[in-house]
Amino acid sequence: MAASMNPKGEDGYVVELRKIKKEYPVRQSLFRKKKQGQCLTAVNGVDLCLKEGDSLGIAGESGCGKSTMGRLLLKLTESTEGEYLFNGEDVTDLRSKEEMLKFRRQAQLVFQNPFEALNPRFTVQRSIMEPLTIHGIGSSTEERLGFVKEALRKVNLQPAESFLEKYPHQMSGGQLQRVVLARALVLKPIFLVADEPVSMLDVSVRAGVLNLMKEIAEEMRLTTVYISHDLSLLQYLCDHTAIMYLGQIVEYGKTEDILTKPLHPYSKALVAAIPTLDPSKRPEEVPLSNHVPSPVDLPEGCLLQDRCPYVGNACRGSEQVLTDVGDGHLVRCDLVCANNGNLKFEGGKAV
Amino acid sequence: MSLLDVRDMRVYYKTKKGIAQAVDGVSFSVEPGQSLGLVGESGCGKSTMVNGIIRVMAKNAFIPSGEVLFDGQDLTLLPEKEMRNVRWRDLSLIPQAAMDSLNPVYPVEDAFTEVLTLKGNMTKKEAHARTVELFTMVGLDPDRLGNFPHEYSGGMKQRAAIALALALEPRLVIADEPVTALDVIVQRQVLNELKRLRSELNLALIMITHDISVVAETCDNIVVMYAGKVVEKGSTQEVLENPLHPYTMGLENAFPDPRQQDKELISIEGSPPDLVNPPSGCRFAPRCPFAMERCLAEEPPYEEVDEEHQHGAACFRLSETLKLQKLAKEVETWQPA
Repeated sequence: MAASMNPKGEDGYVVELRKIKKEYPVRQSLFRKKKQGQCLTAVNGVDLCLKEGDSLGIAGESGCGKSTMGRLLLKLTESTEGEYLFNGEDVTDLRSKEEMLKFRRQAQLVFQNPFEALNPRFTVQRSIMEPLTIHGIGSSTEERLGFVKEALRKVNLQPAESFLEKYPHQMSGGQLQRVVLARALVLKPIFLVADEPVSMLDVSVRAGVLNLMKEIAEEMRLTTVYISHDLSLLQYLCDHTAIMYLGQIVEYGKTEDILTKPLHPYSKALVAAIPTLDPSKRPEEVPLSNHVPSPVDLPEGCLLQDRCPYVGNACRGSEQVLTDVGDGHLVRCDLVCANNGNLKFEGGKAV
Repeated sequence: MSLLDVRDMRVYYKTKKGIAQAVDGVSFSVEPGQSLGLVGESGCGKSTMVNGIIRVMAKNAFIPSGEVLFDGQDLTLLPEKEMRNVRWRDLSLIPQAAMDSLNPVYPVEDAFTEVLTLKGNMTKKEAHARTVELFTMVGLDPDRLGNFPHEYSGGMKQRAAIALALALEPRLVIADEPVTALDVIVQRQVLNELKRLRSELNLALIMITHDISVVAETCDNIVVMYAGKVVEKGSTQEVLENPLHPYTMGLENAFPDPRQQDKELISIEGSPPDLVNPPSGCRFAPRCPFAMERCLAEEPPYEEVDEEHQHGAACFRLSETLKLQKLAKEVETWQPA
């Protein structure tokens, strides 16, 4: 197995999160002071380990904490608890500017909306060259220009010269997303996070960007995290997928396993809800009720208890633990684990 | 007689660069109680067209020619005053980004009261009773009537927009990307809700979306648009299983399907043409791997191939469909030469 969730002091991970937690203080009203102890839990104790070349997909509904996860992984936001090891070094608290620059050079982001991610007044050349200047890579403009052209070639914008002087408004969405990708790759990072990388693109050009990202990640042996609410996309990009619900990972395993035999009731509902070209092949729907608990006031025990059709008394009392049910497939559901993952749900009942 | 019969409809925009032919000769019809999916990439004219049908258009848009027969009456000729009586009562729109279509400074109920009293001639009391009924129908809690839109979740706002469109029991509802902004689970619930309401109320539905799998699951018929033209139409199952137009074949290739794990994703290279100066021949020809010289020079007419499924396409190579379908499944075909 390429990635595992609970390594015991193993080395060689590019990314290692230990019990990472992110809470946002909640204000009662605009003019009142922040109340002590009132917190919105966006990410709730996540462990994550990724080796070189691993690709992980994070999926879930909006508000499940997947984008906060992306921000934490790139240190765009600070965690409130837990540890973050990057390439073996502790980067939980980066105090100095140099340390932060070093981290930023290695960990890069592909934005969701390519129409907004590029400065409309910058040419492609300037957009891609800017990170090189900031990080002091290359001794002369000519050398940097060489890197820029190389990056453009890598993302299939050829001939590179014809794109250098273009402005964002002169390019299509698919081309813009390639420029965004080139800008992330020009620093030769080892870790890439892509938050909904194709959701703003048209279906007919999505496939091209997806295939390109996949090829580049394999060629550069990049460690990648893709964040999307669309499981069918993750299937093309990621070896492993984590399903998040209210800040916790509720299921983790090979993407194929999660799509073909999801175990957690929430993942089941998610997979069954994906629209497909051939509706006759769709699995039975899992009726989740609409009541999503507030992340400010989380219930005790299983977080899905108020929505899950299979809920029992045991689910309400004890906190569920992420458990391996075999073959590196982890599930946070005692009901499923008690039956070694063999538990089947049919017609709204656990069989 | 069809409930809605759109004939050779054109909607153009006046722009600084010239006239953009956003919708250029589109024809289709919707029978009572039927659902139709309108598919295409952004900028293909699908939203422009439905805005033209209900005549809520941008200032620089105009309809140079075409007929929109609703129950035999041509809506394009109707004076604005009479058109107002048709909207909401006979046909209504669930706008794109319906989630933002509710006024943020009024309670949600106010939107319903306004429509029901002004358009439906109800008293406030009757309007309230009807609103409660509508809320229950779309699965919303009537206790939340007094809440403001920001107190609703995305799915709830979408349901409220659907309820509002159904308020006066129209015979046709046009939904512009009704589930695009929603999460998969909520999306599924809203689609199921629409399906149920449709059969209960014998409602005809036009659904605009770029997501062909959503159409596959909800619509009887499908119209595929490209650059302002209909390239293919027919019964949904027939079009998806037996696509005639290379663009439809390409769309299916580009679509990830979680039930087909080994499917390879192929994109259609290039981008849609400039609608101010569209290419003289087939508008898809510059991106089409099967384009011949004739395709670049002449515009292919729409031809019906299968009468039973009302399935047809606008392509010169319809006689070679089987061969093209086979070729279209290969990656090499779609790679730029």
